[in-house]
Amino acid sequence: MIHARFSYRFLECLLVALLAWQVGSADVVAQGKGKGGLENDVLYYVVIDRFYDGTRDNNIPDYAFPVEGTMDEATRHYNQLNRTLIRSSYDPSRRYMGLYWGGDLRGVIEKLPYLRDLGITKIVVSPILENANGWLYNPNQNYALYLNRKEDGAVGNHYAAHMSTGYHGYWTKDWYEIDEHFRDPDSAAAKRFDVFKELLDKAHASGIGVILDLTLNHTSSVYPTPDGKTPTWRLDDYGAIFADYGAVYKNGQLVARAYDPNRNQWNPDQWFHPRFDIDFRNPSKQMLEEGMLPGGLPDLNQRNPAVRDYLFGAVTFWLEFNKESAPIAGFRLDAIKHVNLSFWQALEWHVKSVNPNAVLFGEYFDGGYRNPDSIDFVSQTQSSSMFDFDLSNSVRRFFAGERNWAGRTFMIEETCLGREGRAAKMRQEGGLLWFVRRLANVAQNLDVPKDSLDRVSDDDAAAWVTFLESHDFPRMKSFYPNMSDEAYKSAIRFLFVARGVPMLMYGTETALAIPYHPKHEGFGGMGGDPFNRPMMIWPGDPGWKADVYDVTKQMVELRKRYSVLRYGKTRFIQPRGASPTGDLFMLREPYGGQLGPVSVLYAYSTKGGKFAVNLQTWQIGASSYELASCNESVPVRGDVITIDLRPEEAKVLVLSNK
Amino acid sequence: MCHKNWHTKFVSLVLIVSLGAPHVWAQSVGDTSQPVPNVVDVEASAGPITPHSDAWAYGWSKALQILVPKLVAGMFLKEIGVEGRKKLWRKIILGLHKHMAPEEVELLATRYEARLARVAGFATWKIGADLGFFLANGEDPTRAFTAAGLIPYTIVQYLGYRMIAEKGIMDGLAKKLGQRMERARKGMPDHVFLKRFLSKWLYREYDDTAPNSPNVPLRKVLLKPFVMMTLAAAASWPAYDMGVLFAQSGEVNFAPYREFNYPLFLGFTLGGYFGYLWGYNILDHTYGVVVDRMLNPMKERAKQFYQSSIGPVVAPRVSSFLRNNWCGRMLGQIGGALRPGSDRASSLYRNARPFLLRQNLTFRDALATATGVVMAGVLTSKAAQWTSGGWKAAKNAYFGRYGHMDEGQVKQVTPPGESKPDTIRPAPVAPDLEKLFQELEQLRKDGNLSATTPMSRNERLIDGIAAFETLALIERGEMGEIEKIIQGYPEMRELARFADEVGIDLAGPTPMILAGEALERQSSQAAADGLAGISLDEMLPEDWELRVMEGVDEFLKEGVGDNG
Repeated sequence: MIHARFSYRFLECLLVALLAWQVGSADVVAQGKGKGGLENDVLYYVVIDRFYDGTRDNNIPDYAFPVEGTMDEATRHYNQLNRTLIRSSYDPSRRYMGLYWGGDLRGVIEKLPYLRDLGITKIVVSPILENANGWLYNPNQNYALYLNRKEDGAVGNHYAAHMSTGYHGYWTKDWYEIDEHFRDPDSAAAKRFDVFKELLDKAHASGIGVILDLTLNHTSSVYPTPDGKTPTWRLDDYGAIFADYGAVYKNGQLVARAYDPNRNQWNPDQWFHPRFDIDFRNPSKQMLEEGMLPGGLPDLNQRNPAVRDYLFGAVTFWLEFNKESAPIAGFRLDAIKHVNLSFWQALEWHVKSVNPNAVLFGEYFDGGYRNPDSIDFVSQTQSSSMFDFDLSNSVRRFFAGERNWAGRTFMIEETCLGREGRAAKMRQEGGLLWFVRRLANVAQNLDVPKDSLDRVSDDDAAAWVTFLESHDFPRMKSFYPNMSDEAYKSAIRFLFVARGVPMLMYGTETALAIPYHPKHEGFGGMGGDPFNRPMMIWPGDPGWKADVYDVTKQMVELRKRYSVLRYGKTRFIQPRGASPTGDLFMLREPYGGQLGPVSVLYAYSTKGGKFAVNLQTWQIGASSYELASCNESVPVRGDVITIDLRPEEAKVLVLSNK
Repeated sequence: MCHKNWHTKFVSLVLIVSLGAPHVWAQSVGDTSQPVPNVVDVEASAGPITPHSDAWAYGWSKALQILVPKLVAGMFLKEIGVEGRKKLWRKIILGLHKHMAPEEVELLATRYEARLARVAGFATWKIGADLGFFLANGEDPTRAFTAAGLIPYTIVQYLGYRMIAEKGIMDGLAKKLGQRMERARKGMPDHVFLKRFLSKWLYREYDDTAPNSPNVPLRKVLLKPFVMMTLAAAASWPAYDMGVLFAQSGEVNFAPYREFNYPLFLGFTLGGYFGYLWGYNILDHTYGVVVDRMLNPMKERAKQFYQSSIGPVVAPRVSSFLRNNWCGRMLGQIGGALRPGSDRASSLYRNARPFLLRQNLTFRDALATATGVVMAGVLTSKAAQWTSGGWKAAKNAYFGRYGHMDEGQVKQVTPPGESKPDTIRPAPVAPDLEKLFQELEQLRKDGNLSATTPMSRNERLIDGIAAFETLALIERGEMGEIEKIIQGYPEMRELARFADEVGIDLAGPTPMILAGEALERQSSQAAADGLAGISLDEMLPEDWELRVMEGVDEFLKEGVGDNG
């Protein structure tokens, strides 16, 4: 078995090496050891519409749907409807979170110097593919941004306050085109991809890779709905209108329909699974893989060869796009749990055969050690990483002061340590204590499962992507309005010192967040989707937090400078006086048992205080240290390093043993 | 989330119901890359009890809250090994107090036995509550047997419910007022209607399905659900969490108490308490009226009539097949044994009757219990919705009066140029969306909103303004005004072209400011071109300012929000 696996990995490496030699490397950062190869990266996620408006000319891009006299009636009507929808979907006031705000690829290009200065190595752009125009109307959900405590009741435009559009990019209809909202306005048909090519080239020149966010699970909503569920079009009732009935296009040509309104027929081309909603309370695997996601999104049947060919073709198209100068760096794969594993395995091989250097990481929602299904995904694919929701969630909660369940030092430590964790060691050693523990907690629901540890190597876990904020989670400072800036900075420091590949959500570097207001409750709670996607602000703008930015930049730099942060092992220590439940002292040091030249110590205290770290006691080899915030080396005296921490403050010490 | 903190999840489920949107749950556990409301799901989940609905889960939880303690504390402990355990108690008591009188030993042994049953009742109630929930939601049912949580839960429940709430507060109050419960019971006449009514419909013992005594003191009736149920339960549930955390990491963590959702739990507890009570009583009462008072007398009368008119009942004819075949004979024997009125059935029933009566297991009771369970499921969802909604409303009201918004964050999200965020005006009542779209469609067919030639961004914006203005007008029901838009539309487009010429970007975040700047630039340019003598008014179309104000400002106010 081991032999077979070794051979398989060897062959894979050989194939990858051969292909790499053929294709040539487009990566600006060397790939890591773990699956996905992202360890050397610092990722930065951008919701294109909310990043920067590079050109205002594409804010109402109805020109993409011309209405001409020579057109047949159906096309003209389709275009007219798209034009109307586009016009009603733009919000120049930027007060309606569900509408388009004007950000585009040109804006990302313009802000590349900023990103380069911040030090990130790869940007992950929200889906740029051609999106369905349309909107959903939910009278029970507010999407209007309130800037005043006394703003109360309903809002100026009742429709806009409850409308959500495809500004986020996840309502793809044509996997071979760029959406008209994101590309340059005056680009003729032959030049419509130029802006993306320019982005790739300029990003590459800045040492930054571009990762495309790709959703291969579904298309766009089908409304008005079949099955007699046509919206009533009343203000107080749910409503929706889309120009496409969840159809799939290729270069603008219709290739498959999810619904034929003329015949009232679902799935006439057999590209989709039967129509049913996922019951998230008690979902079966089949339901997750074949059911429709909320919003009535038709679920593609990837087992249909035509669908597979189409999607693989699109993947090839984007991998080969601009490959002569600067191809894309890879894909962020959306909605992993909603597509069958065999498809991901096949896709992975396909991607690697086109570009062996392409990085892949999947969004398996709630994934991590404690989610066995996500472990299936990462252990049964050969080159894919995933988001570590487990650790990220614990970090968010702990630093925000929610010290229950996941938000405890114990949970952070166990997740970081993996097979070196307390529970894993206790399990390995057995004994009475383990037996009693097992007896008392039959389900062992909070421990890292043995099966996960058996199936995931430390290298692979180190390549999982961690985050404080994402486009699915509320911004921390919105969800936890009382969280201090100090705690926020401490969380950022932790993210960069802990194992995993840190991904910054745009604006995290300046603690961007909407203020607390009862009306700002989105999906997932206060400040949740869509309130977690405000417009990005820039240095010098009102509300810009330079201190948070400085800490972020510093940590990015630190992570890039010290490989121990990327490949080192983790240890937690407990200096005298430190609280086991309120303080975190985490050491990153080289593997191999010997004391390396450089280790990094992260020290955090909830209540603050003076902590003496005895190097002998904790077997830390260091003759000097320097604080990450100032490059001044301080010699160690008496084998003790004293760290003075204010409440909720974290310090990062680089320990040298020269 | 992924760490399966089911206990919190159980309680938070109520919150999900209270938000009235299954998609919220979906978003919290599933993929949230699609920030969209689930229109279909919301409609489909309107019914109170469907498989996997919240009421369904609560119903199962309630059912097992009744059944598991009944099986364990009620049947198993009461029926099996009672004498053996009493012997053991006696030995223990005599071991501790060698010279105790036999009757005192007996009394203590009985008391210990009762305490054991009570402790078992508390623990198994919690097991049942969790087990029902897990089974209904397809989760790992073994978690319901987590001793690490059950032990502290039971201790706190015993102390909180039995010692503090029941003995301390309830009985203590009674003692203080000189109204001990027993005395009060004896003193109170049974025929007081209000007292009977209240004790029947507002009071029940801890998941006891037996009919209530009408002699329950009023203060107990009123205090029980709040003091005994809610406080004791709220004190014990976080203890469960604390126990699990302690078993895992050895930490004494009080966060489960700090972060517990008490308002939600109030609804959960009260909904379960009253839902079961009312459901049980309604069926019990109805059964009494329909079966005991109406059907049974009728049945008796019918029997009498039948016997008087037909004569004695003749035994049914048995076919030759059944007589001659061994299988048939066996079937006949079984049927005979089970046939009501047969000797064997009577014998079985006679033997089982004491047990059934001891356990209060009658057909009527089973029906009443089932009704109670159903009603508890429905009412728990609703009650949780009310309490959490009420708490949320109170918090929001407080925020509206005393709260503040973080100035730094307000600055972060305030669009550039919008220095003074103003109040967003209330929305007018609108007619239906279908009508609105018909109007827009008509507008488009008239050729006013659809261009056949490429447009500038300002022209496109004007189109958008017209569309938004139309929406606002329809909202206000001012349909006649739409005609004005249609008439004024060509001039608006003219203005857009003018704005293009002079470099005004109407699509900018603050078009009026930009317009002002552009006009200043225009003025300077005009001066530079030797056109200083020509006033701006002469350069611009008549009423340009008014029209821009009407168009852009109205757009911002009505169409997209008031920017002040």
